[in-house]
Formats: sequence, C-alpha cells, structure tokens
Amino acid sequence: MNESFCPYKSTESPVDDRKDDLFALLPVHAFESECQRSLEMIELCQRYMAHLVADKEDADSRELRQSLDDLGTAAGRLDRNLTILSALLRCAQQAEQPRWEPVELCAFARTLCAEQDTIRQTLHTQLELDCGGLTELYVTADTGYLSAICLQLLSNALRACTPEGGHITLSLRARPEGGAFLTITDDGCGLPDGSLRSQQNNRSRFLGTTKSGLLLCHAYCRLTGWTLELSPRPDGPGTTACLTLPQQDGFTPSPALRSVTPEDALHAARRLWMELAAELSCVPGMENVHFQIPAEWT
Amino acid sequence: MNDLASAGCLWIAIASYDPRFFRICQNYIGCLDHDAFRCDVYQSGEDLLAALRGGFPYRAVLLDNAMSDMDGPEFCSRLRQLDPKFRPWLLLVPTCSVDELRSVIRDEEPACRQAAQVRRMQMTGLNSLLYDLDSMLRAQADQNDSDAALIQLLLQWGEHPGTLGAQYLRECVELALRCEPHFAVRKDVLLPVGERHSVTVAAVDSGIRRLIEHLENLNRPAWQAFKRRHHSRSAHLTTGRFIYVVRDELLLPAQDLAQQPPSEGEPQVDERELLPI
Repeated sequence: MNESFCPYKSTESPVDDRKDDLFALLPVHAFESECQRSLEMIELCQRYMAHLVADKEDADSRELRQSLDDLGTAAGRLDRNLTILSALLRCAQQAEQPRWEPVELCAFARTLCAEQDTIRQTLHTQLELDCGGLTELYVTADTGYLSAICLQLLSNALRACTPEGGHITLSLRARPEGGAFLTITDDGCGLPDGSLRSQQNNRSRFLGTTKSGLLLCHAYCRLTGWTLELSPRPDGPGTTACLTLPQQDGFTPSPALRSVTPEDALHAARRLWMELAAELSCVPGMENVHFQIPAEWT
Repeated sequence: MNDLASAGCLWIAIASYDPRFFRICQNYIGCLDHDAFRCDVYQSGEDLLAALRGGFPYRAVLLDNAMSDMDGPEFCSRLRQLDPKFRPWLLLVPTCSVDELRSVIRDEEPACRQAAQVRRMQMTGLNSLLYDLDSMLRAQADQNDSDAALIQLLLQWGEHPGTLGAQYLRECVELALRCEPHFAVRKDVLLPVGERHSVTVAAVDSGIRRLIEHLENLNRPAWQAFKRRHHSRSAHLTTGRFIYVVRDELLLPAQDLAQQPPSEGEPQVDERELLPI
C-alpha cells in the first residue's frame, strides 16, 4: 500500500484532502493479489470436490461434476475480466512500463496455433499459421503485452467465426525496415458497419464479454509504440487485425542479444500455452475442453 | 417447507443467453424444493415478454445481464410497459445494478397505483433469492389464491395437481380468470397454453378431456357435488364448459362455498377435527 495513504488514520481524511488523487491511490496491486488469492482458493476447493467425486458414477456425483465445470467456467471468466481490469487500471495510473526482451516470433506464433486441431474439432474453425517462409524472426518486445494482445485478437477472431465456424489466418512478416507485422484475419461476422443488423450480429457473438480487451490492446500499443489496426477483410466478410512491431531503437539483432536459451524458450512456450488454454476456455463452445499441454513442452 | 398440495407450484422464468446460467439457477432453486417450482428457460427476451404478455403466470423472472436479443436494462424497460397484472412478482437481477433497475421499473403509472389488487413487482438479488422465493411460496399458499384453491379442488376430486391434464387445467383457469366474463376458450385460453408447452390446441384439449374422464371414473363425492353446484350432473362436460365452471367455482365468494352442504361422503363439520390428519 502507498505509505502516504493509511485508511486507519482518523485525524485526517486523505480521501477528502486528495480527491483528485483517489484514483492514483487505488491499490491495484493489493486488489490483484487479493483477487488472485480468492480465485486460487476457489480452484483448490474445485479440485478437492473433483477429487471427492472422481470415481463415483451416481447421479449426485454427475451433477456435482457438472456444477464444478460450471464453477470452473465462471471462475475462468472472472479471472480473465479481473486481469484485464487490473491491467487497464495500471495503465491508467501510468504504473505500466514495458520490459523489453528478445522474442522469437515464429516460435511464438506456432505456440499460439498449438490448439488448432482442438479449435477445428470444437468450433469448426480452421486456424492456419502463415510465416511466409520465415523460420525465425527476432524482435524486441514485451512478451506479456504481446501475448495479451495476440490472445485477445485470436479470441475475437474465434468469437466472430462462432457458431458457424470459419477460417482464421495468423500471418507473420518481417518489416523491411526492421520489426514485424503480425496479422490475424478471420472470415467471421466482421466489424459493425453502423447498420442495426450488423450491430446485432456482432453483439450476438460477443455476449458475455466486457468489451475492454481491445481497450487494453490499444493501451499496450500506446506504451510500446506498436500500432494495431482493425479493418474489414479486403476480400470478403470478416476482419483483419494488423499489429505492427517496429524495430526498437538501440536494438541490434545480433546473435549475442538473442540470448534465448532452450530452457528459456521452453519456459516461454509453456507459459504462453497456459495463457492460450485459459483464453480459449473463455470462448463460447470451448468452456468444457480439457486442454492437455503438448508433449514437447512437458 | 410448504406443502405442495396446498401451495401449488410456482412458475419461474430464467432468461439468459448462456445455458449455464439456466443450470446454475435451477440447481440453486432446487435447494428449496424440487417440486415447489417449475422453471422455464428463455434465451430470447422477446419470447419471455411475449409469454408474460400472453398471461403465463410467471411469479419470478431470473434475469441474466443479457439475453440473445437484448440486455437486462432493456428487458426491464420493456417489462415496465407491460400491464402490471402480467408482470412477475419477483425479478432477480444478479449482475446489474439493482438500484439502477429499480428506477427503470418503478411503478409510476396511475393505472398501476389504482390496481390495488395487482401485486407490485419486487426486485431481488442472489443473496436474498431463496428467502424471497420462499416468501412467495408462502404467499402462493394463501387461501385466496385461485391456483391453490384449484389444487384443493383437484385433490378433493382425487386428482394429483401435478399431472399433465391438471397442469393444463390450472394454466387454462389462470388465464380464464384474467379474461373478460365471456372469452373464447380456444383463442384466449387453449392456444396460449399450447404455445407455452409447444403443443397443439388439440393436445391441450385432449389432456383436459382425459382429466375429465378420469374424474368421471373416480366419481368422488366432491366431484359429484361440484357437478351438482354447476348443474352438470348429467350433462357431458366439454373442455370449454369445464374451464368455465371451474372458473365460476373459484369466483364463488368464500362464504358461499363454506355454506355449501358438505358433499356426500365428506365428514360433517363436527366430525372433521376428530379425523386423523
């Protein structure tokens, strides 16, 4: 907590004296950690209850397992929304600073597409990776921001294609002047064009969302100097989201700076996959999928 | 817990875009009494509004923050435009601001204030939902409640109020009581009940006719007395006439019913308290 603001001091009222600072004084970190703790307690209780009914096949146990699944889905959505909200609060408080590190984008993109089979089976949506012949592409980026933006864009594309199913392409290209373009194109419902019909179509696919994910993407872009452009897909219905990662000043993509050890790469892939699984679990139609971490990352 | 036989079932509509919300609410409500409540689920707010407008007796509506075609506040705004007698008694708004919605649905219309017999809709939250539902169940058990009175009649006639034919009859009579003295049985009563159950008018008619046949076969003294009161001892009871006479029976002042001589086989007044319960 901020030392200058102690709610237990009775002699002065910091809230009255510093109304303008109230937002700045909001203890986001304490809020986050307390929410995280509550979510973890919920998960521990879920696991315990799941263990109690693990081998039972009576009607009550089946009903309890169903309730546990529902509880897991609700907790997953809560987790996602709280994560976005606290990240937005940190951005608004100007408490966010990007942490630059080398990221190999081809491996990053492959991990993002690791569940393409599951997505095809459950949502009938084809997720395709197109690296344009690249085998590796290093950029300097904040991995956390990059993951959050890409997962949000992937989630939006999947929702836009659900329930009919569709086609999503994640393409990666090197910028001639350094950096990269990361583009996610879908042939789903497309951006609202102002007509009532398109608004209703769009709304029906994004029910249960807080509409704050793209806000966070733009906030991260402002912090990093990246650009995110959403536009109608040029050759048919759907949307193209293009994230431009410019070359960072002072960064030389020399082998010495590509200090990504195999262990680091494995750790990064595993962490990204976990985030991917959590994000996909919030996509309608995938809530009950039990994701298994790919063998190469275990 | 209330006795189902005296209290009757309480109809609840659950509205959400998310099927999980239905299951979670139904499980939660099941904590009270599985038999005391009947839940219908609606993904479309328009469909639920149409059902309420059609007179389906939903006493409680459990509303998610969104439905497939409208958000919670819009639904509440539309609900406000409904005739107060068609509104539920209880509205659950778990994820919206209760205060905000209370202002949306506040009954300001003079017509509503004049309609003293119309129960005012109450807002509830998840914390007090079970308590409020339980209170409603008690209210439903009130002797003046027409459905409770009909359940009593059915039990006296030897019919369980939960059978399909009895359910159809209860819903038809509930609608008939809201109609003008003369109403079109098919259009005003059978059709809405059929739509409510996704069956044809003929199916509702058939369900009630089978109920009448069953009651004729049982031919309990209370049934004979009922028919005598409505001069139907020998006349063949059609579905329409049955709904009319049941409605008339329920509209009889309580004292008139009390003054009716006990039907054959029923215990005399001085015998009643001596009988085991």
